[in-house]
Amino acid sequence: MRERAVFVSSIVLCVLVAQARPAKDSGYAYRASVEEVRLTFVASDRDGRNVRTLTPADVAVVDNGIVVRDFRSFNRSPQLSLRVMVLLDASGSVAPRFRQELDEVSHFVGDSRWKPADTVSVLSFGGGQTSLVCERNCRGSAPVADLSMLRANGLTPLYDAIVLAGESVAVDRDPSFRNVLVAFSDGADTISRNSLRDVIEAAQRTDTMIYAVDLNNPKFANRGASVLQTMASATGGQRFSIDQGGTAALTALLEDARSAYVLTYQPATRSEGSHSVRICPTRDLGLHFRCRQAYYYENDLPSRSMP
Amino acid sequence: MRRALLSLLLVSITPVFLGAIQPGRYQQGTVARMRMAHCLAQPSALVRFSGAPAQEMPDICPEYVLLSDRVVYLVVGKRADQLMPLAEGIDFRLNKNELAVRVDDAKHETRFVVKEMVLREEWDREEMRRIKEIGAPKPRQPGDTLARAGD
Repeated sequence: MRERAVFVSSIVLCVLVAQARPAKDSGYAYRASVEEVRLTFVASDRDGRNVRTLTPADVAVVDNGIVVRDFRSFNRSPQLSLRVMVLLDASGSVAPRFRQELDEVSHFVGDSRWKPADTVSVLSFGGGQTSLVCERNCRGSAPVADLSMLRANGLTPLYDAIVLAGESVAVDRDPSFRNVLVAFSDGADTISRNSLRDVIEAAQRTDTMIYAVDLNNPKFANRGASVLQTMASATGGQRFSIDQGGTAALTALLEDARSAYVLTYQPATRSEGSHSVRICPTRDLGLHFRCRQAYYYENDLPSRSMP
Repeated sequence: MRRALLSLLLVSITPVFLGAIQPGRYQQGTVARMRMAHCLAQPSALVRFSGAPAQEMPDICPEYVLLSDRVVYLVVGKRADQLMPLAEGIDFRLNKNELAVRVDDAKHETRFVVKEMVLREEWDREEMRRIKEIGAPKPRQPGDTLARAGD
């Protein structure tokens, strides 16, 4: 909140100064020179259990190939609330398992483990369209009842739905919330304007984690499963099979939320565009980390002439 | 003439490298870079001569730039998941054309293939030139505006 106030005040000050003195009168350019990358990550041990006792000395960030060990901040963030958007695939390709999908989504949304400050929305997509079933208050019984009215048919705008959902949960970029998308789908997009790459970029830009409940038969290899796994890995989330169900996804999501860390650091270079990023152990090579695999650096801070 | 110059250069550089590299003895170093790169294929002699199909190599392996006081090593892992600890200081030693790194509090070593070596001074010069070209971030000054990249 304070950072935002400082940022807004700086912009207002710059605009006032620029108006008071025409740009052509001066030869100096003002450009802010401080940037900060914020990474949310989860650490697990060799047995897959989340680790909650890390210190900054235990991890290093590799930003575009350069190793960063000097962090501006490093904290656990169990107090962050979740802003969750559930994506419900209501396309023809999931019709044989649609009832099971609806049950899983109902249990997921209606679970008693949510914190009061968490918000849950549900967006359905199918027949080439997306529609918001309920927004931010889906944990009651009425919105869950609305799900039974849905029918599975038509084409699958999966990528468009995820991009839309990502924009929706990250609309105000409130740092007191963790943005999460949970996609119940078979991963087979058939009609989107966006691509898989667009989906991943949109999620990485807003630090939104994607969790997926894969509706494909887990006994057979499937391209849709691979798509869902790619989305989850690139954003720090996880993929679950329909047999594991929404309950497993929720358990993992809440466990991740309680044991996540947030670190900030100064980017190693100022090159604009995508920066690949990964977190690696400094000592214990049995540690495994999940976080978004890229962030986007945009040098678009206000540039104004100063006297 | 060129051959003579090359010979002279080789003769002058070799003692520096030999002085800097002490095989078998543990040295301290720090990893400055890491990226995923093509693996270095190293089929065994037995496989090469027998004509048997080579063991399937992973496509990409981790590649590290390891800085020691006098020499900088470019080393490559043998597997996609072969990690090197990225601590401030790590213990390593040279063994033939491999670099053995002590991990897990010295319980065991993990070996990396040495791909390139360069003198530290030369690497530092190149690094300074690179930083000038691409512009590394400046340290934070009081009153600077705070912004978050990709956030």
